[in-house]
Amino acid sequence: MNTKAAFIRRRWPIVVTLLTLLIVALPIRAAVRVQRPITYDGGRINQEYLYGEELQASTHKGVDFSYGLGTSVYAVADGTVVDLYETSQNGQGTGFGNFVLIRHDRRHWDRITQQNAYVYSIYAHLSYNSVGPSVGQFVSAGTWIAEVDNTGSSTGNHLHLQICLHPQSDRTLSTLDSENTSRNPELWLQPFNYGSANTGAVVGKITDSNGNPIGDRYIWGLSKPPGSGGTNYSFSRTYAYTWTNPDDILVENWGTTDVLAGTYHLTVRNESGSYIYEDLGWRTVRAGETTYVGLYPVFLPDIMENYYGWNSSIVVRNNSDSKTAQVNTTFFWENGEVRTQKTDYIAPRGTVVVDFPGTCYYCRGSAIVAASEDVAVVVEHTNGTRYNNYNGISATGLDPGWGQTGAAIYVPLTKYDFDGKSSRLYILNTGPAATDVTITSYYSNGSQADSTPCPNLAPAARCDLRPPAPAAGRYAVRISAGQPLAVVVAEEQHSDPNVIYKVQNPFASGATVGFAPQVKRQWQGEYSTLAVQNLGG
Amino acid sequence: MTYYPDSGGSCSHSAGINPQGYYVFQTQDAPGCPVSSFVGAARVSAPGTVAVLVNEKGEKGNSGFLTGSQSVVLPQVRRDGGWWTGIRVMNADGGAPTNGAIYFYHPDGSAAGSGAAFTINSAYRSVNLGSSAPAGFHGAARIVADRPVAVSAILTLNNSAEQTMMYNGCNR
Repeated sequence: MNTKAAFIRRRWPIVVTLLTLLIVALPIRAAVRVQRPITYDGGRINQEYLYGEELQASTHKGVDFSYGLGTSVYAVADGTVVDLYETSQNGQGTGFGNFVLIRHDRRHWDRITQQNAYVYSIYAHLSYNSVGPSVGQFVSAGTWIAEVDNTGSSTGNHLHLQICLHPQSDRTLSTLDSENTSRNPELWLQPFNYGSANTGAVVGKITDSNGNPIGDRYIWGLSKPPGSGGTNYSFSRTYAYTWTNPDDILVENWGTTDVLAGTYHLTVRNESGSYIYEDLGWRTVRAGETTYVGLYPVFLPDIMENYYGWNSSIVVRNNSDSKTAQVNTTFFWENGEVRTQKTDYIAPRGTVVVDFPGTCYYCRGSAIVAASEDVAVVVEHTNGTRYNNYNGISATGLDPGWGQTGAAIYVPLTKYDFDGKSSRLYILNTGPAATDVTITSYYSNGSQADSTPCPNLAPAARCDLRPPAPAAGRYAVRISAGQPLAVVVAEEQHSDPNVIYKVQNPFASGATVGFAPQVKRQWQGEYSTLAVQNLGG
Repeated sequence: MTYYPDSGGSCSHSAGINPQGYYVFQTQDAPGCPVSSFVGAARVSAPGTVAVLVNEKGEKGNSGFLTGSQSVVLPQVRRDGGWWTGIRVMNADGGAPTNGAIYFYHPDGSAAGSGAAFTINSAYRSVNLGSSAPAGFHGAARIVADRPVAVSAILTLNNSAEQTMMYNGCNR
């Protein structure tokens, strides 16, 4: 098959996929960070009444920003105002009091209904007659929409922000609030960054021996800057009720943001702190990043189903000796939209092959395995004639020995039409924000050969391309981005990309030593090559 | 780059690599090092940070290890339906001997057999523990050792080069 024919053959299912998506859906993605609804003072969250906490036998479905009367409130993302109320006077009214409801342009996977959902944001307890936009009006992120007040069921001036998901586009505030639709806004908001107080997010899961989440546990040890309204953070609490919804991809049971960058010793305790259920060990929180505690996401940049005869199997091994692992696997299209999702439970030391949830033809994308215990993952591809595999890529900070996610990825050797073979990079954005990716190739002497961008790569979206090459040959490659990436490198027939010879894991870091347990020379017809890349300079 | 055969003496090559550049050590091109009919391990050392990809002439390859571990997990080990799994365990410490054992687990987490002990007598040498897997086995394995080891798994169906896969053990 010639190159052009191979290119067309490779691309047409993607064209079909894109056309289908244009018909059925706007982008559906993993949680993407949104702006803060208050800019004054950095928009600090009230740290004493967080998402999932109880008050008067009710779960708090959002977060509060305790600021003074008249403080400006802004839209957290682009969307359309679909409901509002503004006729309650200060200190009067019930429930949300004066409010604005925005339905956003972006969509998100809804784990409850297992379908695509609209993202809504609720802004409550606003001032009398202060709402700027009208119902039906489009507002862009950062648009001024109202002022803080104390209307409705409220004990002081504050903004209540709530994030909801619903598959239907016609929700009003009363219908949304009566349904089980809220999500933890802390996992949607950009981390607080006020002066030198650079912060990050922490997402975790506390489970029983059967892998099921435990409510009402208190995670002690993290530190935050002071919250709004004179509040101070003491601990995080696991979601008290089973109807307190987790993130739809990570399926955590506690999560918080605005944690000061640093290293912390975390323990699970009772509310008073007097009894320790579990020692979670030391964890490092980095500014602008998400740290996982008791939650183990593994990224799989290339997954195929009935793709020119190729199918992938995901082999997941639970490394715990005592606890069952709950494993939530989410499959994504190349553009970062969720295709489908499934849940498995793995016995201690056990293994599961995550099979595909349905028949899908010419389907190719990525997957995220989010497990409640440490797991080791291997992906196998086969078309019945050839087999190849790669290791799942961890974002937990537990060093597997060869590399993890990173904002810079190194590939010691790629090929472009070398001995009839070419490499292909599968680059997955594992961060919460879109990022520009740059792929740079180098000659053996270290001089730059070529460079190409993969611009504006959305969260959970994948870019697949052959490394930039000015001519047939071999090149080292460096991939850089503003978000952590997970990358695998396939070697395929140059003239037919559906002939895949092997898939390998590149590196997010290097070392001054490297080990190769199996090397051959003229051993049963085999010999080895070892490509070494100097990461310095 | 130092090559360590399963038995016999080691030998080395060196190369200068510019920043961002690369060098490919090809075993078959270097006269006498490693020797013909060589199978074993290799260790690369450099004054700066490097990364290593390992390929075989056939259709398999994996990443080199940057660190070893005293506990390594292999999620997929098969000795059923025509499959064979080579399990290459390398002493990644520099001290010797390395004493350890490999344990196999069925998909439900139960143990398959009682484990098999191994010893690596010299630094940076490797052993193949593939034959330790029970006949008909399909599950996972864990290697524990008293010194850090690096482990590669090589799965082959019906002894076919096209149906061969190679992956890295997960340090835990």
